[in-house]
Amino acid sequence: MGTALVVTSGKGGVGKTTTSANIGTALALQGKRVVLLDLDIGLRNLDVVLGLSNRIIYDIVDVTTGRAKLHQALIKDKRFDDLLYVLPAAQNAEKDALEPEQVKDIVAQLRDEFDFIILDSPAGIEQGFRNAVEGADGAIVVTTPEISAVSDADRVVGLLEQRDMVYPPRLVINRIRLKMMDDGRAMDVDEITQHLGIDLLGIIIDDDDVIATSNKGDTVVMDPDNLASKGYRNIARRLMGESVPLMKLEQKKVGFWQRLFHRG
Amino acid sequence: MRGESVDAVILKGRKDGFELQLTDTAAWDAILTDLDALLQKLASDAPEGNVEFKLLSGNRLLTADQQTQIQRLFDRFGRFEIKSLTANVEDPSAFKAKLLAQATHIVGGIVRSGQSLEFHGDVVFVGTLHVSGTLKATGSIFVLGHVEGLLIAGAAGDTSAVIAGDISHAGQIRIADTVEIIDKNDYSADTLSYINDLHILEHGHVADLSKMRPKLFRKLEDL
Repeated sequence: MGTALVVTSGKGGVGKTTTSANIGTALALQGKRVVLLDLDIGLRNLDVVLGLSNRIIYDIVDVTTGRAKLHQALIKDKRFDDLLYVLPAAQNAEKDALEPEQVKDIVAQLRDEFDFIILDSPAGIEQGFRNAVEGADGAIVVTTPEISAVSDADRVVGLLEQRDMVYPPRLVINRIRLKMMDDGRAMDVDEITQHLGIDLLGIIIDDDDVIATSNKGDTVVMDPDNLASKGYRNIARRLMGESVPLMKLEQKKVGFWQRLFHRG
Repeated sequence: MRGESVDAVILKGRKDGFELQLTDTAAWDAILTDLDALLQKLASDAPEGNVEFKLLSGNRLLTADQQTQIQRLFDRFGRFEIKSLTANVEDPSAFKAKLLAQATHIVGGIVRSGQSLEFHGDVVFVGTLHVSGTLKATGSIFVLGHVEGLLIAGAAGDTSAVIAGDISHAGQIRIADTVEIIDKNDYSADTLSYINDLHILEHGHVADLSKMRPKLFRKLEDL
């Protein structure tokens, strides 16, 4: 029986889709069978991030309306043998073309075949969010070290806690800028985690390659040396039950003499 | 049946008027017949003048139906009236509501953005109230935890309600219909926020609470 996890944040633009794609890829790299569900009806982009958009024939609304069988709509990512699949969102359907019960139904059908079912939720806390949450056993709440994102995450955690899911929500802090955290201009990891009062699943250090790779339809996770990639890989291992220590956040220390002679 | 030996209705003259005791050990039907007979006798003995009666039902709580039955007996004589009807006992659900209104709730955990916790009575808050979260009490709020959101005391309009404790990081506090936006943070754990005689939300010292709101300390007497 697979585990269904919803990736959500409340606020838009904090990296839900990127996180879904990278965690999914990282799990597939570990040999798990993963299916990603894009639930952002009307604004699908999980397929784009993975470079699979030209392969879409049917989408999730086609499945719920009976125009296609679930298996016809699943897109296989050939880079990962038979491990990674995507169920794309509908592009030309109304935002509420999907009902929570229908999502639950689809997830139930996928459970036998996959180890992880990752539901990429749209921003907001309306119908799209409810759809995504309904099918999930647990939630990954994505935030960035910004007050607006943390405040929205707080609201979302409140809504998730009301639902009594199998697993309590866990936190991913995305786009960490080491320098800003170092000099105290951004909220730090402990501060955010303590404020939200939920377990920290992992941290992702901001890296240009995250955007650069996704522009090419790749995920940063495929580069083993990248810092952001390590963050995602650690998250995947923690999801599989391993205990992986948190990445050290120290920047390369600049020596006193070096600072003295290289000001600015 | 011992009903024979018990007087179902006893008439007593007191300093402040007539009192009718409806014996709580007598059968209800016996009370109605006795009362009927008694009133008729009174009407014929004293044919003039308006009379008011205080009715005491002892340990029997009269239902609305029973109350109208009694009222109907009195209505037949235009000049007899019921001044009051009291029992020694109270309806359990009404009493529970009263008790709850007096209760002090200990509240912990996290109140998150968009969430609102509401209580009847006083609240001792030992949790964390996040920005945009609301803690609401019809009574007073005693803050031991951390508050960043909105505190509402005296939510049903009780101007004697207070907020005691550190509100430095709160966004806003309200007591009854007064509002204060908190933008200073020089409050401390012994800050007392209350409505003063001029109906203005003011801050003082928690040590003065017992003098200022003595009722808060002896609530059971009001029950």
